[in-house]
Amino acid sequence: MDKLSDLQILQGIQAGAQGAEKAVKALYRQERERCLAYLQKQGAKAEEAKDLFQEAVIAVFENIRAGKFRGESKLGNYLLSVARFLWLNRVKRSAIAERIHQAQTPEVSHPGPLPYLLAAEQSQQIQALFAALGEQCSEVLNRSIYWEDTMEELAASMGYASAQIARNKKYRCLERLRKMIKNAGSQFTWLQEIGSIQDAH
Amino acid sequence: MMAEANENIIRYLREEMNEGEKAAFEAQLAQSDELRESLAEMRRAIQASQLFGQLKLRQQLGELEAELSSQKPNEVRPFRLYWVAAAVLVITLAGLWYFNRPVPTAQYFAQYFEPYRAPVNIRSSPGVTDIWEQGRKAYEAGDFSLAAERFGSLTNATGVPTYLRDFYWAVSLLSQEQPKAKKAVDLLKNVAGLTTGYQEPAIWYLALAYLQLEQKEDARFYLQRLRAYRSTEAKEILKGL
Repeated sequence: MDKLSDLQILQGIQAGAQGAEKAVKALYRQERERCLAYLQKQGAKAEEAKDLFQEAVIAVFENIRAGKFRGESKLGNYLLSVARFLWLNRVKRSAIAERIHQAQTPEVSHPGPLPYLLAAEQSQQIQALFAALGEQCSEVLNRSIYWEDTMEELAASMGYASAQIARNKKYRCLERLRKMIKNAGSQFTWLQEIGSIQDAH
Repeated sequence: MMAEANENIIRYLREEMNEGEKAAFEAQLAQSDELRESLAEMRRAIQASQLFGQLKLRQQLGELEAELSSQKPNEVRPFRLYWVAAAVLVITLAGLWYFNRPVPTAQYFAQYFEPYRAPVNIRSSPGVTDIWEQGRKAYEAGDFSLAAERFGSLTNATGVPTYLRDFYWAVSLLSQEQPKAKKAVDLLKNVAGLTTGYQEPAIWYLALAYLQLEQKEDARFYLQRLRAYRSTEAKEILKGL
């Protein structure tokens, strides 16, 4: 597979789901070796390095979409600096967890990595929510909200006859999701209310 | 809820309404508990969709990783013996040169430098503009170029203590792919001379900045002044200098 330039990746990421997915995967392939080697050199274990690298790629993708990457450094270097930052944060969290662990009463012998467990629990809740929402609606919302497909792109990728049909479908799916969250009561209170959809959308 | 009502909520959240539409929508919001509740629920639904998107992307990257990990490395063609011998000779000579050359002090910077913990939110202080918050968020996200630019644009009138601004501005400059050590030295000198909680960290970063600039004696001077913060690392570096 040909290597993509920074410009090609940036343009791909600013496109709809199809172009953006390709660009993110190209970025992943192209920077993987260097980032994993760097993280492991810093002390991360192989699996941990992969985990951090994936987090970093997602963070970089979202930062580019949000206009936070201003092209002052090479994309690969920016990705590496984000990965390094995530690694240092994780090291600091582990150090804090270790100190808390040492201060525990003796009967709490295996407190476990609490922040990760909580995150995993929330991930499961989201997965279950979208499984209940149905495959088609999940895909519609994923493409239109996370990947920012236009209604025309959404119609083309989902096989709808027009952008208007895609728009109606999106709002019906959102409405279903809204009701499901409402009916779930306190289960999703951890979802923070975002002040502006543009922050996350 | 009708699609139109949903669309209005979303347009409002995306700040796509003109002033008239926004005012009308906010007037409706003020009068309707139901609409306010719908707005809050819609925010949650959108955030859940956002999180679902992240999870899906994570899953896709996991699959890509599995695919890449399972690929066999390219086969290496066997070398002829004399090529191997030549390579060994070259490596040996290069090794002798490498271990006998003077060690650049910038190497210590690369080895020991890491950004200081992210700054705290001081939004409650009067007069602080959004600039601090923007710098803080950029720093947290690892975008040190933007963080440096934001911290650097804070004026004394914003209410952020000067030593705090200078400290994070300097560390942001040093955290960049091409560390801007000269400017960082100027800033850190201001902080290192003040008795604050940032004094010793500033001395540590000042020493590292001098190492990056290959100014060994200045670095040595500041490393010797460290009493508590990073004093073990400082001793290690001093031994090697």
